[in-house]
Amino acid sequence: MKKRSRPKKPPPERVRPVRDFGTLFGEEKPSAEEVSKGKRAKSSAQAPVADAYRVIDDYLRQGRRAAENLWTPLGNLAGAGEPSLLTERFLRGAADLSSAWFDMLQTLSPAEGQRDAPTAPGAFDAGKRQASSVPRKNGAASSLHVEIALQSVRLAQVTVDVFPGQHDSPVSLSILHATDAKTPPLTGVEVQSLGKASAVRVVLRVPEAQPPGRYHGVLLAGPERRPCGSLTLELLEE
Amino acid sequence: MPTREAALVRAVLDEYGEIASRGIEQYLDRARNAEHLGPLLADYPSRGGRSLRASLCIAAARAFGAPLNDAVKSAVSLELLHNAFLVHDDIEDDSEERRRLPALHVLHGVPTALNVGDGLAVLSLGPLIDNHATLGPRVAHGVFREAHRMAQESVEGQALELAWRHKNDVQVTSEDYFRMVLKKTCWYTTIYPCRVGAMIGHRRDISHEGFVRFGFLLGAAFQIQDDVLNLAGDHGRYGKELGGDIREGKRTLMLIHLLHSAPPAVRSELHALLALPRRRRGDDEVAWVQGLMRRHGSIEHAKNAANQLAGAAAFEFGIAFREAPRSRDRDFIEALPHWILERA
Repeated sequence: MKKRSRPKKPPPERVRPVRDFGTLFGEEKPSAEEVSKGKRAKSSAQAPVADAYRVIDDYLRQGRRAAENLWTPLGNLAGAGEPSLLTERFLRGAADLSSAWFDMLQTLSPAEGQRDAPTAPGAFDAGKRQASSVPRKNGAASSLHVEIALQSVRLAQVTVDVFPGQHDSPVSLSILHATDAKTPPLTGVEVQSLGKASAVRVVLRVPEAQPPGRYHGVLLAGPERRPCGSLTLELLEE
Repeated sequence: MPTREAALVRAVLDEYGEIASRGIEQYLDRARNAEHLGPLLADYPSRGGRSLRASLCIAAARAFGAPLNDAVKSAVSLELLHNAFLVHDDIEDDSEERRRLPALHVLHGVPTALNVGDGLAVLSLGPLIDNHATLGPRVAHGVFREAHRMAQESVEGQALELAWRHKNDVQVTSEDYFRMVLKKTCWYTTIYPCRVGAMIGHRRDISHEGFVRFGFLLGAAFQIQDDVLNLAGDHGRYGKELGGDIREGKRTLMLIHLLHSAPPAVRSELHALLALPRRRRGDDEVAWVQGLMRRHGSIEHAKNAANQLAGAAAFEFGIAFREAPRSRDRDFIEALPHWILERA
């Protein structure tokens, strides 16, 4: 008996939905030339998008490469002929490494006085409260540890930015100036040492009558009062 | 584009454009009494415009949670710099009109117009300095750094375009074109406003590449659509002389397509035409090139490219703004790729 072949469906043209951003705004129109030749414009219309993605991918890749070269502690040693450049790169690399180590220790072991305190700035209820918080840090290259103790009847948010670099001098804080020149500055600021120069507690005492708004101060290091960070206090409306 | 989205884009552009205009006036007031300069500084800003850049900056900041006032100074600075670029661009391109009126150098001569452009660029630094009071030193410094990068990218892009024209380069590819547009148009029109807005909203530096991708694709669609309108738009609404890009020998996507698709004999003629000084490319020559572009599908090619790029921008929007909660400002930015294609 002759074996009959079983009829089969032809293979489907596609096996997954078309999720192409190219058709997001509908089918593209064929060009006049392609209409005359009876062709669709798909290939020519998508070529610019492919070109555009190639350009932006290449651009971002170059940016990443530049950033990696900047970050690499010893950089491209082969390209550094100058001994002074090598020394600078070595020191920068060592500083980066020690800061990273400090950050890691800090993450694993919170500082004394921080364990029992709320850590979210701005989460204070009305009424006199005292709280401390670990500031957001600008990059990983800093070893200055700042705690905040805030006394305020208003809801408030504190942001501290520590500039990158090593901090081994005593730190002070300028009075906090309001962004509006007519508003009196906040003078109730005090910096307490936590046993070493690179760890301090900033105490902010906000008088009840202090108007809401944004107040900025500068963290200053050593007798030469070199800026080593900034502090912003935002007193919110009731 | 659905009417609701179109109405939203118009409403936000009007609202934020008005806020930016008031801010610009404050800074222009400071220079009002400068002899032979003050009134001229106000000329281009007073001619109107859509304030797309300022609106995008404010909307991006608000989409990420910033109060309105935090983004206004950055938006004002950008609009002032944009006007400075326009004055200088008009000289470099030898354009005759800007926003339906004679270009500044046509009215007052090139040396004076150059100085007015410089003046506007200097004026744009003021709001960035004043950002310190509003945003605090860290974020203000971050915005300033972004502004520096944006300005640098923009002048590098302009240098590319000027060099192609100066050397009468007919080998330019669409990849070259996108590289130029990324720098010349996208950085200050779309990438910078998004990045700065996000930085103000987040109150930290932005390394997120999503804004560069979204801004680039949106800005490229915007530029190509602008080039199409230069050929086939409504003069009353476009605000510049139609066909000006051909007269100026600008390497638009349409011209690049034509140069690569025309037969060798036509390409040689085009090469010779582009080598002529601008004043020798009159209405007849412009019409001839336009006809060639139509015959070879260059205009349709550009329209399709703008369409596709806007689609790609809509795709990248979802990635770049995924952290922003649903809001009027987020909806406005999401609607921009559609709006760019439909503006006349």
